[in-house]
Amino acid sequence: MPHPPFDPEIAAALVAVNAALPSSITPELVGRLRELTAAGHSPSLDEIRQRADVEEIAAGEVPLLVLRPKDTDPAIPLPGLYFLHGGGMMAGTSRTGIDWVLDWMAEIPMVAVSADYRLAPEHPHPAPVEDCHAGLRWVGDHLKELGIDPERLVIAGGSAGGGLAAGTALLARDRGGPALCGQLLVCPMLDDRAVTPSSTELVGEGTWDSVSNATGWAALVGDAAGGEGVSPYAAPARAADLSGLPPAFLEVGAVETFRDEAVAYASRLWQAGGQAELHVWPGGCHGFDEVVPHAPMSREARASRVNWLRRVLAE
Amino acid sequence: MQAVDPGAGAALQVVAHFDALVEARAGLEATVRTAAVLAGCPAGLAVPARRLLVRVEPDGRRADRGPGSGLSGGRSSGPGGVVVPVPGHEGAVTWLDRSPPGDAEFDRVVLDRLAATAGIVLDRTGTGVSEVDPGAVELLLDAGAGEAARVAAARRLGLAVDGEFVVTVAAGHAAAEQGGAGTAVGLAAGQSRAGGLGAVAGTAGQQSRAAAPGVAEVAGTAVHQSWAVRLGDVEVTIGPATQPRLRRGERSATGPVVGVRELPLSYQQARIGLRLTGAPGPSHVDTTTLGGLPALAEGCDSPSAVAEVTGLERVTSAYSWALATLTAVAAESSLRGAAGVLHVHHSTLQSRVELLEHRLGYAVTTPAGRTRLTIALALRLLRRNR
Repeated sequence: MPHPPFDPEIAAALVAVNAALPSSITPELVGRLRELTAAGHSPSLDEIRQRADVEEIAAGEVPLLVLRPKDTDPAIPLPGLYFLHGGGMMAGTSRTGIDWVLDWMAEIPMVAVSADYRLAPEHPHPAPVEDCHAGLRWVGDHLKELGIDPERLVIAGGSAGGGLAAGTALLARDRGGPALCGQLLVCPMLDDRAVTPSSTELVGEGTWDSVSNATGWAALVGDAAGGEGVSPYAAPARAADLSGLPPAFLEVGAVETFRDEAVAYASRLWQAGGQAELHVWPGGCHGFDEVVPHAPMSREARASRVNWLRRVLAE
Repeated sequence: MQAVDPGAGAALQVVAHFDALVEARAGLEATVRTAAVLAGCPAGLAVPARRLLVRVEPDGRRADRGPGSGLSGGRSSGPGGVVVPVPGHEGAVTWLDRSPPGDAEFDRVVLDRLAATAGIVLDRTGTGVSEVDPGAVELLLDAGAGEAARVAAARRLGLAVDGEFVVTVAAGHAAAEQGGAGTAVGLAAGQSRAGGLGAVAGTAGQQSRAAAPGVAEVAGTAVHQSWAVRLGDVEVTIGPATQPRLRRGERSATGPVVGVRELPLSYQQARIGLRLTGAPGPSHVDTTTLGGLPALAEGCDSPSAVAEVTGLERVTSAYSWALATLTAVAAESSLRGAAGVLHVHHSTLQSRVELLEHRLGYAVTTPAGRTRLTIALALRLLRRNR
């Protein structure tokens, strides 16, 4: 299968990335994926505390990590951001990818809550997305205590977290809340069917190739992957109705498995009368801004997320 | 990719990463950025031949003018710290601006890989010192090409678009040897407006790789390059007007001082000037001193020109000394001066001139006769040198 070329700087960096973890993550490599996710993308609580006030909440069904800008008064409500980490549905914790969230908080003072949802394959669908929704519901029920403005709560996630954010937004719509004013979906994992061209064009190349994707979906929905009866809350691309959803931000690299499903999701949101902002970054692999954080395109991509957040949060 | 801590394995990591950049055909900015990020200090690349400066901060941001440069322009930030030349590209340098100095060994590895990788990129992108597109030089001289195309070609060659230039054309053995077989192009000389830099290459064999500006001059100063290209049997050099006129090959001529847009005119004039050179006359001419003489080129095939040259050559073929004698008589202010140039006795010259005047059918020592002779000699050269 032909695919667009990787950006040269990204291609060079991928050599080191793939030396640590192959492009094709098979079920045998899930342990390695978990180790690397814990080691590389998950700052410790102490590290997080240097940038924000941190509270661990275990009161609800799902452990939550609450981050508040330092020295702010909870009596004055701030915008809220509910965050779902990535890791292919199989790896990561509420601390995974939290640097993104801390960077956003540095730009826009807001309260962030990251959910420690249960992971597949030990906990297949519906556990992950139900955990995500239960955590969101808890946040919705405690907005005042958390110091979150009820009118300004967005949901955000990357990769598997992006798929879960989209699924949670569907659940919030269908179960009557909590109200969301935006969904920030960074290279989201939306479709188990592997029907788009991009979902099969990477084999043994880049990050999260078609083999990894099959491993992730099999972990989440088992043998049902690609067949009949997979829930749209697991694979939001399957949702027949995308109306009534909050404004969406969708972002993918042009050289990634999720490219076409993200583009299709944005198109269907527009067709359903919704609002969506779509970015397809040329030469970008899945998660390119973490692969080459210093590259101009990575800066642009990060700035686009912040700009969108500013708009939907009407700062 | 993150800054790596100097230590065991770090050097290998650096080498592997630059290798991967080469493999992926990354560009110059990505290459410099890699060095800056790996080393954790500003890194830079200056390529005077392309008037190019790339400077990247350790956080990956491009900052060609260095930190703290505001609207006032700031100090241009050229090479500083540890500087290493780019192999195969004269004048091009890379540097790591680490202050205070860090692990010298580690920096050396990063810098060596930066320089080597930058050299590879410059080779590949093709308009470097060693690999010039001859077509770009030809385009500059082609009056038929669009002005936009010619200006673009000038930029590609690193010529200052607002600069002033002179075209020199040269013919003969020396020029041919310089060019080598086929179409060859080389950097003839690099000279900055500030002056005092690399020597102008004026002799055969030196010119393909001559001195380039010193590194201190790279960043802010306009760098004026000279380019040489072989077009047919002549070597054409485009050089800055400030550069001393080149005398190259057996015969050469320089055109008027022009801007980039008028280079074809300077070239055309120089080519006509070259046709007016050759023994026993001058071997090098500056066409700006020729007045209206080059205009004869347009009429040198007219019947009157053909008749005049035929008459002249009938005489010059009769006596081996005739052509030199007539050339000297036309060029010198007196017969005594001509005798000196010809190394013959004044009375010998006197009798030869009388003989030649008889054969030509007109006096060559009267003002009108000298003018006719001068024109006849010019027409002869124009007809012989095409």
